[in-house]
Amino acid sequence: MEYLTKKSSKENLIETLDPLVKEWFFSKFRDFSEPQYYAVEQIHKRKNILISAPTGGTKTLTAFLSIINYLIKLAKSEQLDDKVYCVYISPLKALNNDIFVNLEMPLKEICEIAEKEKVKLKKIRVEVRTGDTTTQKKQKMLKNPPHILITTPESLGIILNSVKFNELLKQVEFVIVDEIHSLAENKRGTHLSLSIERLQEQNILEFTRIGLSATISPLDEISKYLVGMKNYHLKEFRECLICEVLFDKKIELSLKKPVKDFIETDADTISKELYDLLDDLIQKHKTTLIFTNTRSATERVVSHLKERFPQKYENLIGAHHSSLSKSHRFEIESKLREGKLKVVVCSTSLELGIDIGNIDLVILLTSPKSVARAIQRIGRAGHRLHETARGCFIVMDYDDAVECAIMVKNIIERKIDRIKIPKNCLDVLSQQIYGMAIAKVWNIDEMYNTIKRSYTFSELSKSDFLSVISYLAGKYYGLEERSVYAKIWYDEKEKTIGKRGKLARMIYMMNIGTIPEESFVEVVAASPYEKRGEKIGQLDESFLERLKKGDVFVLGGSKYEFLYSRGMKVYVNASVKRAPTIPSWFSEQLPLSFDTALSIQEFRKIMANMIDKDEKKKVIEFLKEYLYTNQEIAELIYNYFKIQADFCEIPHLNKILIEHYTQNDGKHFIFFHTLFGRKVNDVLSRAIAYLTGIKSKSNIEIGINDNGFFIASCHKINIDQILNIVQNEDLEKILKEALEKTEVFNRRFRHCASRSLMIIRNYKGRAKSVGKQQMKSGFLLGAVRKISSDFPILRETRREILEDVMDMENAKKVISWIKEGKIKLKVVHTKVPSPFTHKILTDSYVDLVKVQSKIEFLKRMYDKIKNEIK
Amino acid sequence: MKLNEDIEFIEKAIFLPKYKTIIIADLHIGYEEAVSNMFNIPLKEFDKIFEEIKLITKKLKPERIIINGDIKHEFGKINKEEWNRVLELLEFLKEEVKEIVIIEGNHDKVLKKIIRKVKEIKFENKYIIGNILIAHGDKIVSIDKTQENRGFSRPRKQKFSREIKTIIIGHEHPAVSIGNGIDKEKFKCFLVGNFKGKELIVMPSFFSINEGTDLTREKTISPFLKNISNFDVYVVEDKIYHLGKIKNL
Repeated sequence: MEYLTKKSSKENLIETLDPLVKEWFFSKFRDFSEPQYYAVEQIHKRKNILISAPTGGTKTLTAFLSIINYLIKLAKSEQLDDKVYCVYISPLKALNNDIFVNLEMPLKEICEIAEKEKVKLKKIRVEVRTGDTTTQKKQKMLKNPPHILITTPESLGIILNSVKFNELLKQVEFVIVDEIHSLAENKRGTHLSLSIERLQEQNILEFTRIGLSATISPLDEISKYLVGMKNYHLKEFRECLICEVLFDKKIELSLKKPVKDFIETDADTISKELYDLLDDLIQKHKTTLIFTNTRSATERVVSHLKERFPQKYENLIGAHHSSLSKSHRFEIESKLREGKLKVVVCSTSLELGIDIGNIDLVILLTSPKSVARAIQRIGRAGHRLHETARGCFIVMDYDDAVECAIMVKNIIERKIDRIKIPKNCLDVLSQQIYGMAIAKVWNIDEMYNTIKRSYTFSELSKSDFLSVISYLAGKYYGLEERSVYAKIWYDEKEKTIGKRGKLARMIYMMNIGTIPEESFVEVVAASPYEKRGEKIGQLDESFLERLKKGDVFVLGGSKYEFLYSRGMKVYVNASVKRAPTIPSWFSEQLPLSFDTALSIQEFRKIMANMIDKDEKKKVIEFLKEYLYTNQEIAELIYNYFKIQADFCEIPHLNKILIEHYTQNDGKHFIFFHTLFGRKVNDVLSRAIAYLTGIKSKSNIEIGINDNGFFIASCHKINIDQILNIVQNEDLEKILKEALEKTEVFNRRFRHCASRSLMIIRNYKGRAKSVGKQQMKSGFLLGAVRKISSDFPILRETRREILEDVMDMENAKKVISWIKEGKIKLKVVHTKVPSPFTHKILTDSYVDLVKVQSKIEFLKRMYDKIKNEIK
Repeated sequence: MKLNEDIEFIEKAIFLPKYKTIIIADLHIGYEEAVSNMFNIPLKEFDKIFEEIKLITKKLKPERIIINGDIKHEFGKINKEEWNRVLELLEFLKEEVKEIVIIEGNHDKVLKKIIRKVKEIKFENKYIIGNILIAHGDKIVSIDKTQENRGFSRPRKQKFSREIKTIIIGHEHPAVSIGNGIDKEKFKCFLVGNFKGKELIVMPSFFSINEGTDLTREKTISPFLKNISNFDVYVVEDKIYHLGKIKNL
């Protein structure tokens, strides 16, 4: 891996271009852009390259310029063949359409120049192939293959297994992966990484790989992800250049709060002031984009703005999030591009790079939870190069203010938090091996080698690989008496692997993909009479599991009483006056990144040292400088820390505060001030709750957020025992044990089972009925557990939870800091929960760690009910 | 647990000591077969059902066994698996008891074909012992055949013989979830209530793949059951737990 430090000279760069391309380029642009100066010549020399630059740059043309140039040269000399020269992959279908337009246009313009100059030029074809492409169009592509193919990771997986089309993909010379940062960090990226190695394996020559990324860290890892292994025996990666352009436009940051003080102000006033502030900002700018993090918040902001300012926003405001229909989103996007909207509110859905026209202000309503994400969002403003991107954080409480202030600091100081690339995902591997076996008969070593070249599987052990083969070949258990369908055959003598069954290709094509089907249940009114049958909205399936007859919950700002459920429908009473009995929480909330969390911890430490001994004025001055902020925000943050310090103590990087508090009704709460992000707290809280539960023989309630967690119980909790647990027990082992019984495990197992094709969603052209799909995953899970606790898909479920959903790696780091004495534990007893706990109490994801067996549980409930019966 | 002189709940079965009879309902043999097509997983559900029936017959030594409907799962067709297993079960029971009665359930429409293979089995749409009427519960059956009401529509005026004091049905797969908020579990249960002045008992499903229909949040399907809020719940676990009225759960 080598970082590019030298730009090409303008002359050299121009020299690489064909006269036609040169003429076209300078008819459009005055000069090459920063990324182009670095990267175009390297691509021309067929060097692998990762280009990282903020959005709004000229990344795409940087990647394509040399390729277009090459194709034009071929076309001119009549050497252009009917085959695919370049495959471009992006995560979004919408982005694909954008790219298509952005390629067709220059190609057309170059043709016009050629015509004018009487140069004969064969047409260069560009085509998009995604899930939306019609069969007719696909047929046409077979006859006239595109020279540049634009596709998605899923469609690439399908193409590799379509007999005819795949023939056109055996002499590919360039592969471009766009928005690589958003793919590398999840299983879609794992899938893609294997597909690219499959594509390489069937190509005669090594193709040139080009990755396009937003500002992200660590670029070394991402570049390895892009290029993969040349030789895994020698642990040798293919070569890759890294081109990092830090700023190709100016960023202007601000941080605002709707009210002077959050404690002194009631919720209604905060809300009213917020919308006044939003309105003020929107009116001062031409077009504003607001990020809210969640779908529900998006809806709320839109409806409030419309209600409060009826004349201003009626047709000038739009909502954009993943639950809205495709056509609705498309409409919002094009209106935005055409400048017909004053403001668009979105959850996270407009983060990625489709062209959305000129935005002059991006508002981040509450913390975006990671620095990279903040930069990405703010980069959506001033889309054209060299313009200023204006970003405004609006904070809604004290913790939010601290978090966002630190984020502003890190953006300015360019401390980007690192993403993690998942490795050895056995479910994705199962799906790909099935695909590989369908494409041809493999020698097992040849297959293993191909897989190992992918960065995401470079550490895959032979035994893990063989366990997946065993699962797919149906060798995992005694199957003689039952017709369990093996998907592949494996001949151990000949060491060969191939597909099994005539329908294999069809089953594969219908069930490919890594994004779990989101299970939503529809909410329908059953009463009052005049509303009967009215569709109200959707609820997350996991939310439904917690509802009991008579519970009142909030959806889209209104209250509903739960009556009963049938299949995938929930029937409710729409006219209810009682207060909600079930708090709404957001399972969609983004987790705070570990790196940003540590920055906040460090800040807390500095504050803990200053706040007692230094005068207010001095601290305020320090804050203004340290956080690059103004008097108002500095005072707000000062006050927050002061209250906490006066109340008890300030927890920080080297001190975890453990706060015990007994509620009026006798319920015990123990708060852990562990500001390490929700993913780490998920690990710590569950392990501690599980052991505490076992020792006190009761179920323990937990609440988790980014700043810490609590465990709660009606029984007294022994704190010394907890300290002992944290300092001495093997948390990873405990957690693995504890996890098996959780809801999260059941849900994630269903996802993994579906990815590994244990659950076939579509069979013989028919989608599985809702009822069958909804079949309790616990039931399937039980069966697999009986087979072997080492069943590869069970292991993958554990890995996914520990590494992707939670963050075991960093949790272990925290525990080792505690054991080394780098972090001290401090226990305090409080009469009222301290200010730093408030958000943990009100805004956390609540769960229950079960240690009681079903029978013990029943006995406990029976004892309770018994007296009432008599 | 004794409900009264004549009726005992024993695990998921009902025992009528006076008549040396046990009743079980909703075996749904072949269910796993139907499901495993989509899951690709071998299940041992049938062996489990078989074991449990063996245990009960060994313990109670009944003279008569009544299977109260839905012995098999697949509607309309008989797959090989079911054919073999239902036969296996019936052959076993023939050795254990003097009389086997099978009540027709809504999943049993073509069961006759199987049963023909095993002689001396009674195949009925209802059965009366003393003052107890046993029926599957998917439709209202009366003593008078012409009054039978098929399907799920509301029953017309029914005449039940005055001698009938108790009606036992299956079909509903009753279960309840108990606990608060997130601290919650689901259990199979018996329900005891009233139907047109008679005592009505709803049996839990015998198969153990899932608990059944959670009546604290789902609607009932049997025409025998309309408002069940005043029904008593008897949860089946290691023993029987009487949890009072369903409305109080």
